[in-house]
Amino acid sequence: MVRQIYLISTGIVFTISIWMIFLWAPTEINQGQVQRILYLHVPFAWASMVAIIAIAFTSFLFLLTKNDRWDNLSQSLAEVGLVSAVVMLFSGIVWAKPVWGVWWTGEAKLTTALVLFFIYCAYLLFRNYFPPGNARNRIAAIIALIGAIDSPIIYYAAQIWEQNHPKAVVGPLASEESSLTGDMVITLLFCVLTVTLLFVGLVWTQYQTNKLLRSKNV
Amino acid sequence: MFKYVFSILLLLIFVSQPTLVLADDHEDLISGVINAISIDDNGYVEGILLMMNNGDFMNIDIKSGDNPTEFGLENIAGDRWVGNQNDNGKEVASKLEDHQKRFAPITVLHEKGVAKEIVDMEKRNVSSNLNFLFACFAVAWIAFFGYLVIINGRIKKSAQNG
Repeated sequence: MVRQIYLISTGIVFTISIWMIFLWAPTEINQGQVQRILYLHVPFAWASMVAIIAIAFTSFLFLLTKNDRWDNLSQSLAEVGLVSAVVMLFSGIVWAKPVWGVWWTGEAKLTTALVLFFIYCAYLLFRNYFPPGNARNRIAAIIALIGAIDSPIIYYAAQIWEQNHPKAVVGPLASEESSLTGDMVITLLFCVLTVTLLFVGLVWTQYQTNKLLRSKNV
Repeated sequence: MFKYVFSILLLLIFVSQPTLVLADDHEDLISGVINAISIDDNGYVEGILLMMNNGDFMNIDIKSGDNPTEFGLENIAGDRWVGNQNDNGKEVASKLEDHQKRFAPITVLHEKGVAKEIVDMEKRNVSSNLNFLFACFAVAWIAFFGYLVIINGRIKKSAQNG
């Protein structure tokens, strides 16, 4: 019942965010309509970066307690984190073409984001192809702990190397020059909330599914 | 439960696609050079007459007070000035006169002839690129809803085995 209420609330918030993105937020004067990709790209980037930190945290708890629940949560987070990373990368690539004139550049922010995608792939491939057991879960936890180092590097990459990718538009790293204001920042924060709710909902569902599958040894 | 949620979300995709095209349909982007500037006794710009790229003329009202027209204009050296008439009314008049003298093209975002934003003309068509926007959102939704289908498949598989 709680899950159903949660899913319905998320659906409502999702609908409102779609309305805000396409009808409420103003059109950016320099980039035009394509700038609306921001409302997809930033929230999914946020989700994929937070997910790897969360996986490292749950993996650490698993290594400490050996409780299978933490391992299940890590796996669920990784699967949803991978989907978020795919959306982040794809939206970034599609946005770069009309704005920068190229699909991809080898700059730090983009490369470290691609590395994050590979970390998720490595983590999940390892889990799928290594024989199930304690050894697999322990090694997967260590991969996650090492992989989480990439997240702060992605966050600070635009600040450190100052290349094409814009600096942070919200949060502690946003400068007066780079920060969003007015309706745009409200829309962006609402979209971050929506994607966070979607993310938590999917992780929750995935966790329950994995729990069921593990109990039946499927 | 999943099939209902999935159906609703699938419906949302199809329903929301026209909004891509309808986004900000009440606003319009035009470009051209300034033909005349109307300035009141206090030095505030009331409006401009814009000669558009196709040779037609259009009167554009400039707003101050609440929701003033925002400007982003460069001088001949490329220094960009950003502001509105509430911040510095006379500066707006000066910048627009400079653009008029130089025949420097500007882009105006307006709603029924009332300017919301005025900037130096973009070299490319800023109102295009909707195909990129569509591709982006379509793939994002397909990825997420596809993932829901995968989870649903796993639950069914588990139910069959149970």
